[in-house]
Amino acid sequence: MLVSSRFRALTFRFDVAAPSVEPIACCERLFANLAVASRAPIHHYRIDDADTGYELRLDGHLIGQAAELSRLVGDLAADANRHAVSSSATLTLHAGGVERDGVGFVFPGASQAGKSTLVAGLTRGAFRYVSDEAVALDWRTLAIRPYPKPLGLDRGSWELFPELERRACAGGADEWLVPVDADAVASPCRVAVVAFPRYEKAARTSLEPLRRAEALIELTKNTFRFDALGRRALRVLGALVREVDCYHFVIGDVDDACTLVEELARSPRRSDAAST
Amino acid sequence: MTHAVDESFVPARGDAVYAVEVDGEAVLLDEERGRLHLLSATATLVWRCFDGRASIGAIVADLSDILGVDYETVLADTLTVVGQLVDEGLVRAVEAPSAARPPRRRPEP
Repeated sequence: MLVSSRFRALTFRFDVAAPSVEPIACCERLFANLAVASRAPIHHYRIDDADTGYELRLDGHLIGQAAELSRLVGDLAADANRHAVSSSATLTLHAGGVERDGVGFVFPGASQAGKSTLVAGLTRGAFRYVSDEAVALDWRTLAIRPYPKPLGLDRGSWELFPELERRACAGGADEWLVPVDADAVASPCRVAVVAFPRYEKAARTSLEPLRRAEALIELTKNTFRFDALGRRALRVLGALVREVDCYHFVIGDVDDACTLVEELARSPRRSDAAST
Repeated sequence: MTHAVDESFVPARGDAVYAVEVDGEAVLLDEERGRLHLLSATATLVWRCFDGRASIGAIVADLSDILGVDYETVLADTLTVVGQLVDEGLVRAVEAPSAARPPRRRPEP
């Protein structure tokens, strides 16, 4: 049995065992940015060959089966992410995030809001990758702790990023999971802008200022485990919104959206409205 | 026991309600019901006055003085706000209204 490096998805530490090189190589590539040298106790995934394809176990318990290895590794990535965002060690937003010149831009939103597509577009330019799914904040300092999980792109965004197809190494028929280049990964940073994306096909792309109290409500809806964290999370999110500019972000075109974020990055002060 | 929401009503913030104020607007977390509420700037101003001792009459008199708005107008708005907060379970009446600061009506001109 071969065993991978140790990885850390926020506080969730894991490794992967498999009977052959291919699954291990796939995981090493996919999770390269999460590799750690820690000797702390970890969880163990195991990929086995099966009659119908592959089986996935976590700490001895069967958690998935798939006919294709790429899909099974995608299931593994999703499971590790679920464990990562369930930790209370950080205040974790359901959000994409990027960093530029030490300044963080956070895009909270539900699935299909356009987080990953926006982050993919921005990291194609001068922004560095925080995460496409989970932005972790330090409870005390509010600083972003980058979580460079593989970028997940749904089929609907593939035509926008054809260059990523050859780099995708897991995910199955409807999703590419793409490891981000190590030099494109963000450093810890402060949040300057929180913009809530909403993809609307053919809509005019626009950023409209959002009242901070409204933004606070929206952030609670996009905080993992907010119900369990309660007032502690509300207090910290309140401190966060007092420090940042907040926007509604309607995205009809990803290039226009990236242009607007570029403009914010050049002058990160609240304006009355911006649009293209 | 229920209390009519009038000038003698002494409002207190619910024990399970936690408030965060941002730019003059309060966000209330009702931990008992797992619900969030966003108060308007006016309602936030009223919310700040709930100390479990002052009656609505006393609160309205103070707000009327501070805002320079006539007592009856502030009273009407305040009763509306408090009624909504009571309905939502965010505010309760203090059980011993006799110990409360009495209503302090603004002198007639």
